[in-house]
This record gives sequence, C-alpha cells and structure tokens, in this order.
Amino acid sequence: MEPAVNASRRRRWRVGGALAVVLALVALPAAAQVNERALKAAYLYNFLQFTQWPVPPDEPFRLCVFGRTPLDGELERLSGKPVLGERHISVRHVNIRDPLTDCNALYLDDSQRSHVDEVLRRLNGAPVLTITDGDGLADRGLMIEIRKRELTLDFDVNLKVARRANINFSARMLKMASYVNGAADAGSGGRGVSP
Amino acid sequence: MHALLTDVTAALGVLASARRLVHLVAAAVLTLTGVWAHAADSEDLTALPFEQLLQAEVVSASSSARNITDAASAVSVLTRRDIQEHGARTLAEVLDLMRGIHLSYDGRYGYLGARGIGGTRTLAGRVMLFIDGVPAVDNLFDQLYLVHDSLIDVALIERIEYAPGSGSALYGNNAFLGVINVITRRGRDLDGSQFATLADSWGERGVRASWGRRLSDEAELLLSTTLRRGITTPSADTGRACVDFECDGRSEQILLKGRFGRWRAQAMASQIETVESNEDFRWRSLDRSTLLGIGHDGEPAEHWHSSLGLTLGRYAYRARSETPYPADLVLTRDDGGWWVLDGKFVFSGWTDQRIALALQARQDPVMRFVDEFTDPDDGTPQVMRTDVQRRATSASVEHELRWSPQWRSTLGLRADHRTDIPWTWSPRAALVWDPDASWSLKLSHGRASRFASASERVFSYTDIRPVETVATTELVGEYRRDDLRLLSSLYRFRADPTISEVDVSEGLRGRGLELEAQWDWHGWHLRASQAWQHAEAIGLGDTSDSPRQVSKLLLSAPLAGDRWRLALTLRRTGSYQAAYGEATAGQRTADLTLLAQRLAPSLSARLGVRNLTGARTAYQENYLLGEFSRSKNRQFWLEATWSPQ
Repeated sequence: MEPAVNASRRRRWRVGGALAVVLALVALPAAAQVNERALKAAYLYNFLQFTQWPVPPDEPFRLCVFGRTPLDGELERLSGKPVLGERHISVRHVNIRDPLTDCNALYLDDSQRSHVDEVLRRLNGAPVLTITDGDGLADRGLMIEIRKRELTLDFDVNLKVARRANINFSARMLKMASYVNGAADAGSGGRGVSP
Repeated sequence: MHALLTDVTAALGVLASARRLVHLVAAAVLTLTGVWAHAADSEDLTALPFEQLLQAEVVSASSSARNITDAASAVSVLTRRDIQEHGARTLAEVLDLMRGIHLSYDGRYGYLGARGIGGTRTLAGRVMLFIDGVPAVDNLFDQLYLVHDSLIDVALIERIEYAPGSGSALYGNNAFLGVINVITRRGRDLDGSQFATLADSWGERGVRASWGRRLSDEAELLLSTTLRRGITTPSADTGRACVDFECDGRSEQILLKGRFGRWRAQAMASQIETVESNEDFRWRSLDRSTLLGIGHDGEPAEHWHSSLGLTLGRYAYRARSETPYPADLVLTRDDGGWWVLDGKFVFSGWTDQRIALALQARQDPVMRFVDEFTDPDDGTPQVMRTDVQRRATSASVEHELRWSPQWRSTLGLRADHRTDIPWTWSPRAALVWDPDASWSLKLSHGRASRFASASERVFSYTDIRPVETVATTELVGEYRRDDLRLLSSLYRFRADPTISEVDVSEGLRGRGLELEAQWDWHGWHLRASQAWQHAEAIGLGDTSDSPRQVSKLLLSAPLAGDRWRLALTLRRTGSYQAAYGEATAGQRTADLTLLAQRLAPSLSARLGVRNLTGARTAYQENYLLGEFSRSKNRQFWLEATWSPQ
C-alpha cells in the first residue's frame, strides 16, 4: 500500500535514524580487533623465536616466502627485526626453481598449496622451519599450521616432521599449540593432545 | 522492532530511486575508510607476548580462494563463513546464493536451475552433487535433495564449490551442466561439542547436537544429528504455504564421519515425513536417503597417489493419498539400493605433468516402483510393480600438462557403459593461460552425458533416448589479487534431443554470460554476481523455469569489530515461463541476517528475516489459492548455538 505523504516523511526520518545507528555500530572500532594478516605475521615472528635449529642460523636470518602471497605486505615489515639474539630477519621470495634448503624458515601460503608436495620433496628433511596457513598442510608434512578459529588464530605443530629435520621447539610454544602431532612420543605439552 | 523493520523494508522498496540513501551510504563508507585505516595497523603486534596474541580477536581477511574442483572452470566458492553470515538454512538456500543458480519449489521439494535448465517440471539430473566426493543422488529419480530432505545439515558444511559447465572428465555421469562439491567439517574443526536450536515464525523448530575431535595423530571423529519439526514449506521462498489446508512435516539427519590413518569412513542419513490434509484429501509422504562409505588414501608407489572407495546407498519413497468421498486410497512404495566401487590414481612423477586415472564399477540391485490403488471401475485392489536392475562401469583419464610457466592444458576422456546403454565417450579439452600472477584465461570444450534415470525409463509412454549428450564451449577470465576476485564466463552449449518425452524437441541450446565479483575490504565482505542466460528447446521456444537474468548481491558488514555482523542478501531473477505454461513475473527478494558471535563465552546467535519486503513469490504466483498478505509473507527466524568447551 502506498503511504500518505506525511507518513512517508516520518518514515524517511525513522529510516535515516535506524541507518545512522547501524552505521555508528559499524564505524565503532571494537577493543583489541586486529588485522588477521598482521596477526599471522606476528605468529610467524614468534615461531622463529621459539624454534631451535640443529645448527644456529647465520646472520642474516633467511625467512623465505614461497611465491607471491596476500601476506607479503605484513611479512615485509618483519625485515630487519631481531631474532635469536644478534641475527636480523631478511625476507626473500622464492619459487620452485630456487634452492629452498638455503632458507632457515619457509612460509607457504594457502594460495600456494598446490606446490606443497614439490616443496617437501625439494626440502627432503633439511633443517628448514616450514610454516603455513593452509588448511590440512601440517598433516601433509609442514611443521606449523596456523588455523583460523571463529574469531581467533590457533596453530598446530607437526612435531614428528620437525624432529626428523632435527628442529625442535620450546616447551612454552608447544603448550600454546592447539594440537601437536607426535607429542605422545616426545612427552611434551600441547593443549589438545590425548594423553 | 516491528515498526523499525517495516521502515527498513519501505526504504529498501524505494532503493532504486533513493538518492538520499546513496548519499548516506557514501558518507558512511568515507567515514569507515578513515576509521579502519588506523584501527588495524596502530599496534606493532610483534612487540606483544605470544600468549596475548593467542587471545586476540581478528577481523577476518578474505576467505580462502582455493578450490578443489576442476581448475579450468569458473568455480564459485562459498565458505562456512558466507553461509553463516547470510543465514542460509538449507542446501537449496546456500545454492541460491551462487552465481547463475535459480531455485524453484513446489510444495515439497527444491529444484535446482543452472544455466537456464531446471525447475519443477524438468527435475534434476543435470547438475551433479557430491558430498565429500560421494555422489548424493538417488538411483530412482536421479534427484538432488536440497531442502529438509538433504543428506547434510548446512551447519556442517565447511565449503561448497560450484563449477558450471561440462566439467572434468573425472566427474562422470550426470555432471551435465555442472558439478557441486560439498566439503564437510572435520572433527578438529569442531574440537568439542555444539548444540543449536532454531525456531521460525511459521512454526518450524529444530535442534542439532554435534561433537567432533581429533582423537590422536591418526584418528579424527565427527558426529552430528539434527531434528526438525513443524515443517510447512521447503523454503521461506515459497511464501506462506498451507493456507487452505493443514500441513506438517518432520525431518531427521545424521552424520558420522571418521578418519583413522589412511582410512576414512562416513555415514549420512536423512528422512523427512510430511502430511497434508483438509476435509477432501489426506496426503502423507516419506523420503529416506542413506549413504555409507569407506575409503582409503594411499601412496602405492613413488609419485603415485591412490584413493579407493566403496559406497552403499539406499533410498526409499513412500506416499499415501486418500480421499473419503469417494473412498479411494493410493499407496506408493519406491525403493532403491546401490553400491559403487571406485578408484582414482594420480601420477605426478613426470615433470610438469599430472595424470589421473579413475575406474568405477557400480551395481543397482534394487530399483523398485510399486503403486497400490483401487480400480475405479470395479473397486478391486490393484498393484503395479516394476523391478529393474542395472550394472554400470566407467573409466576416465585426465592429463594435465604445463607447457611453460604461463600455459597449461588438460585433456580428458571418459567412457561409460551401462546395462541398457552402449559405451558412451565424453572427451574434454581445456587450455589455460596465466599471463601473470593475477590473471588467468581458460578456454574449454567438452562433451558430457546424462543417462536416463530409472523413473524416466519405467514411466515413459514412448521409447525414449537413453542418453542425452551436451557439448559445451566456455571462455573464462579470472582476476585475483589479494582481497579481490573477479570472474567472468562466456559459454555456449548444445544438447542432443532430451531424454524426457515431455519436451519433444530437437534438442536444447543455451548460451550466456556470467560475471562474479568477490571483495573483502576492512571486514566488509561483498559478493556480487550477474548471469545473463538464454536456454531454449530447439523448435519449442524457451525452456521453462529459466529466467533470462539472475542477479545476486551479498553484503556483510562488521558491527563493533567482527563479533557482530549484519548481512544483506539480494536476489533478483527476470521473468520466466514456469511449469505448466504459467508466466511468472520477475522476482526480487531481500533477506537480512544478524550474526552475534560470543554473545556470552560459549554462546552465539543469529537472527534473520527472509523476504524482507514481503513480496509475492514465484511459488505463490503459480500455486497460491486464497489471500495474500505482505506481513505474513515475511519470515523471522532465530538460532542459538552453544559450544561448551
């Protein structure tokens, strides 16, 4: 039914009011709301701090990123940051034809997941810390997988694969993981691990 | 609240011409740009202790753009997040959010229309549905069950992918005009238990209980059951049905999914019972579907991956129709049973190449149609019974070759044989050009087949062709960069004379252009699609239930960060010829969903309105007898989910 003219104007005001409320709610920055990509990069930075390599990495610390990823902007900001004492992070992009074993750590983004088998083959158990945000890739052989929960980020650790490459993690980090594959043998922590 | 919603609906009704509204939105967007530019990057997160980072709440970035379905098609993907935000409650409603797809309903089922083909009269059989790789289709009618009768509760969908077109040679029979892949959640995705209750303003009530966990390095388990009562329509999109008679329905769904090492198992079952009655008739029906499967994924040799599976399926349909005067009773009992043994082998030992081989053996030992009724002439009870059995074998091979960093091609061939059908060959070729990391151009041409369903063979009055073949040519352009994805598809198809004896034509012909855009920006999620499609039965004119235009707009906005979300879903179709020759005017629908995550520590809720403007629906255009009321045509619903952890 078509409303009368006055009712129509009142309606427009009420609509405007409703929209203003909604938009105010939208504009309201909530407490501690963080950009997902920035948080993933921060996780990566922390993983580097809690990892033990068989041979301490040289300066600069080589953080390799496979291909072009949506995280590139945030990862660039890690350049030069201090890690493991006096070393500093050097971020470099690699592709499948580069020598991956030169890296100290390698990040494989979900968008690059089609290369996971090839990357693992090329690494062949070398002491390179592998980190990903690709769903299910820890099971495929990458060491740390960052997982998105409803509103937060978690991570799973494939300790079996890491141990095979002689890479270890501090107990503090393993306690924070939501799942540690291989923890039963190692006897270390992990929140979601069955006894 | 009610008055507010009336106002919002009035505003939306005037959307097309409300310049003031556009100005308001523009102002809001500019405000937000200012706000969000600073909110996200203000802190250096690397300076914070790790334990604190683990508690931080994120504003989500774009959902994963990867897909497992056929890389040479224009694949549309919806994730769990999209489904949740836009308040889709059945599989039909989820599919109705996707590019070019059009859903139609009768009083009981939902019918999928894709690329201009499909509808209440055409039934399905043109688009294939897989749930975790298993075809979820019955063997009597080759139907997809998309509403309360679907095998899976929408809450358990992790992602859903739709690849229109002839598809990969590996997908098989009945992937005629497209393939839908549903991937369900895993035990680790739930990581505990979850309980949900749902109620809507038309009397439907539902409860769900789910549990899932990763049990060890090797084992994972997920269990879920959903019960629904008070079902009166297959979807709110039909508008308020059951006006002049009484109806009621109930449904149950069960899912069990487990993995142990390289072994996987799943069991899915669903059942729906409906009753309709008034003083002149009484109608009861039941649909029951079951799928059991086990599988094994392995590496039989270096560079080889294998995937073996055994699936058992059952389908039962029961119907009872009674009239008191004259006393008449018709009973229908249809049963279907089948098993499938399949193996897929992928070899990636040769550089820049990938070869996949798939073999399948299938048997349908039970295909039974039984009708019991009273002979109108002499009143004697009659039974009509038809039993059919079938065997089918198929083999397919697909070769993907990367010529250079920018060019790759796929060649595929599938061969199918069935008891009543000679060997049928379906070839497919695709060429993909990736000039850089953002752009991709794909050209494909292929043939796919559809075999007559058991019911088509049994119930046709004339000799029908057992196979329908379609040849599709498609050009796809894709642009992908960070949070933006643009997709376009230009296609043409030509099908041999159809199996159905109802459309006695020289074949089907269709062409169309589809566009899709997906953009995530500072927590806002936008997804828009537009499809222009024209399908005709050669010699007879436009196909029925086939709108020439299908548009979708999905917009989701974060409120107070990411904890609350408000989502608007706009769907629009052009006019079309509905079943039985009735013309249907174009339809516009607007739905609104409010999502509140973490209302309380383990509690989240959703509140939604379907058909915000209360507009008359296509179903009502064609079936409604009795009065129509805008306010009664709107549906409100509320769902609360509790995840104790």
